[in-house]
Amino acid sequence: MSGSTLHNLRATVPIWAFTALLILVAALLSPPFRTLTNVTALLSLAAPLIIVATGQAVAILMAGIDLSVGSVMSLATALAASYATFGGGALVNTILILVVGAAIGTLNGLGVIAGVHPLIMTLSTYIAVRGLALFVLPSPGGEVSGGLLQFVTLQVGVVPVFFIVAVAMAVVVWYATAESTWGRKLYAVGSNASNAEKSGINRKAVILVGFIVSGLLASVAGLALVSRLYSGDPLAGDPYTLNSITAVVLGGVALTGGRGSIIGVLSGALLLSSIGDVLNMFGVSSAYQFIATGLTLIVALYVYNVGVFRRDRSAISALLNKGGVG
Amino acid sequence: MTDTPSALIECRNVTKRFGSTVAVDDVSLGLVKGRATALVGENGAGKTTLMSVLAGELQPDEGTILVEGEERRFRSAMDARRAGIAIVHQELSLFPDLTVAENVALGREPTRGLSVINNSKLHTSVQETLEFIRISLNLDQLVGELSPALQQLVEIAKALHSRPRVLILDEPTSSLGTQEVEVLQDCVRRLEDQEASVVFVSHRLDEVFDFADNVCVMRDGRLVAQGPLAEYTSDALVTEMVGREITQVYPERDHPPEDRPPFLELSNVTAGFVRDLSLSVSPGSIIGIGGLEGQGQSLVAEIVAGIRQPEQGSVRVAGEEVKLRSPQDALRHGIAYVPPDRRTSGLMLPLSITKNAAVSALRRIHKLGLIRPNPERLEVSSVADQLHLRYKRLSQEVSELSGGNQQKVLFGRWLLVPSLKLLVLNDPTRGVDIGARAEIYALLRKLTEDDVCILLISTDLMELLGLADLIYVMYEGRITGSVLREQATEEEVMRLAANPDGQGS
Repeated sequence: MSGSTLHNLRATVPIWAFTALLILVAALLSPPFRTLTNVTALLSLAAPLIIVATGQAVAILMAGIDLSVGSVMSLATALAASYATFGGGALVNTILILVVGAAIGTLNGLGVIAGVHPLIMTLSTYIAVRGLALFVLPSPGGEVSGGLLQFVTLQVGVVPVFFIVAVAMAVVVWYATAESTWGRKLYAVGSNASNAEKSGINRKAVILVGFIVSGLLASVAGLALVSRLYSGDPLAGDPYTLNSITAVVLGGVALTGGRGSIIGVLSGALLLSSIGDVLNMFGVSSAYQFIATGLTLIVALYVYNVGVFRRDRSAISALLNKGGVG
Repeated sequence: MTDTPSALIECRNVTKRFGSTVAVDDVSLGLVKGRATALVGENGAGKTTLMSVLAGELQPDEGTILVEGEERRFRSAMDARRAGIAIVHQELSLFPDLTVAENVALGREPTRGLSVINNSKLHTSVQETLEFIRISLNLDQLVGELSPALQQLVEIAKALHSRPRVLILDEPTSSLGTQEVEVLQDCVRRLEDQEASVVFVSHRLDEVFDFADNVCVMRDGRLVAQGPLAEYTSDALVTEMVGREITQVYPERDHPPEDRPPFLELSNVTAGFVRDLSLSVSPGSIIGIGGLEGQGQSLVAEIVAGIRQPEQGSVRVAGEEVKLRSPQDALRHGIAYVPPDRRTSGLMLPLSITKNAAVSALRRIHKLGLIRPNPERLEVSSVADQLHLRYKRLSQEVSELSGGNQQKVLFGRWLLVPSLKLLVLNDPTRGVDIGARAEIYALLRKLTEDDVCILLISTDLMELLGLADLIYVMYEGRITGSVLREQATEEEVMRLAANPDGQGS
């Protein structure tokens, strides 16, 4: 493993510790929390968020952002629920969903390459794709192909298959970002695009691939949503736009790009999913759940910033000890 | 086919324009195998632009580039890299969050298939490159934790990692100490032995003579002289560079400084790396702080400027003990600071000359908090004249100015500050050409005649000897001695800078 990978992993220790502590305390104090039914429910709640946040993290690591993911998820459920209209079996329908996700990602990437700010570009696709989802499936419902439904609701013991898929995807994408040449380029573009270009990196290709990954993962997250809804919903993905960004930030990825690790994002998504569930188990109203989530985010950011500050300070003293600052 | 058959790379009639400015004007130039060529000229002469064209970062508007006699069109830096041309810019292109090894190999990582990086192979290959340069570094250290000098060497290693046939070094020594410069010189010589061609862009003429065989001089976008360096003297080069003769870089002092109570006094100050430091600065004097790079000089500047607070000891301004908690605090006492890296810590590059220059005097110029464009323009343009600033419009972005002119804008900011008493300068003329230097020096002298005192931190020995009334020399966070102007010689200052036992002299 390379030096910066280890460095980025070390930074995810606090968020993992906090997530583990929260789950441990909840499991000790709340009998309903530690039931197997709740475990299954929690994991299937976390699955779509883990997948979409992984894609969002790729966009943010290259100093972009992808607001369209929520709509892409909605569109995926709408397409799944109207497979009869488009014909084909479960497989054709799944491929269609993935292709549409990748296509929207391509569009985002091309727009950003052409000079549109990622925020504006993906906001536009967010709005337009939502229209597309409403066009495909005007109201919640529809019928999901039996084959697809059978697959997405599979369980290995108490673990939903989509949770396994989600973790596997997060790990694969983490490995690609941390240990492949593409990942190295992604971080370089995210921390300083013009220096990256000077180093001979094809910035445009990196950005295009990044948005395609984000769009593709959003459509997979849409399928994960289907496993919970058993049907389609043209607005079901909406909250995931902001939730995915929240999970990425909780996971310690800098919004300015180039710093952080997908492994942290995995933890961020787990934490975000568990906060709601834990408070539910203690009978706290949903109003307080939102407040708690907001406060957690602020505290997490504070912890990261203090961490960064510490590192900068130690960097300064390292410089001085070597006789660096002139 | 060509008049210089051994030219590895050649440009013919290259012209590059930016809007209405002609940055490079009809330049033809050939680089010979196994030779180092120095490219000299004032800032804004077009040296960096020409080199960027050679390195594929910019496309020429007219003219052609030939590699080994064959016409080539580089669409990107990557294209030029493939043709064996690598460039090292003055501004580092490193990634602070990546390690030394990752930075050096960036964009050319060895893989184990499926583009998964082979880390052990990467380490071995980077180690080879570092051995070629003959420096030893911890490959797993984050680059952000290295000193500027070491970062500069990493940047050079990054360029050499592609084993280029042409290496362009754009002012590579500005952050290097004597030792590192020797390492680099040695490395350039070995590259020449390997039939590579090295271009060395510099302002420091003494270095040019150490590094290069041939010299090219640019002025106002044109190539005004070229030939074997042996045919030129240092003075002749300066004359070619500026197009006029500069007789006196350092202005004479009209009258010696009077003995007056100090404006600023540091007594036994300790902060971080700096230990037990005492110094004083009197009105109308220029006090220099010299030494090798990174001996704590910057910390002293930051303490005086209110950026850092001393852990022990006292700071007295105009006889009263004060605590300078922030740069605003220092400014209230009439203390202004010009940081060493104008691009990252001084100027707001995308903003106009006016906005940059007037930013610290907003409250004085714009009463009631409303922007009054006319008085602002008048004040800024009078300062611009005073500084001999070369610009087209005051509303021009600062990023469009050359390095020396950017530095002048930064000076201008402090000239607009009401009641300026002490100007703290940290390497004010790094990367500034000789013509602009002379103007800046004259300005400093003029300021002292108006009773402003100047604390001049510089690693340029000649600058200190030429300007300062008293030079303090630092070594490892301590002042090892001070030298009065009349007694100051290069040898004496160097002895204090390099010898920690010189304390008390």
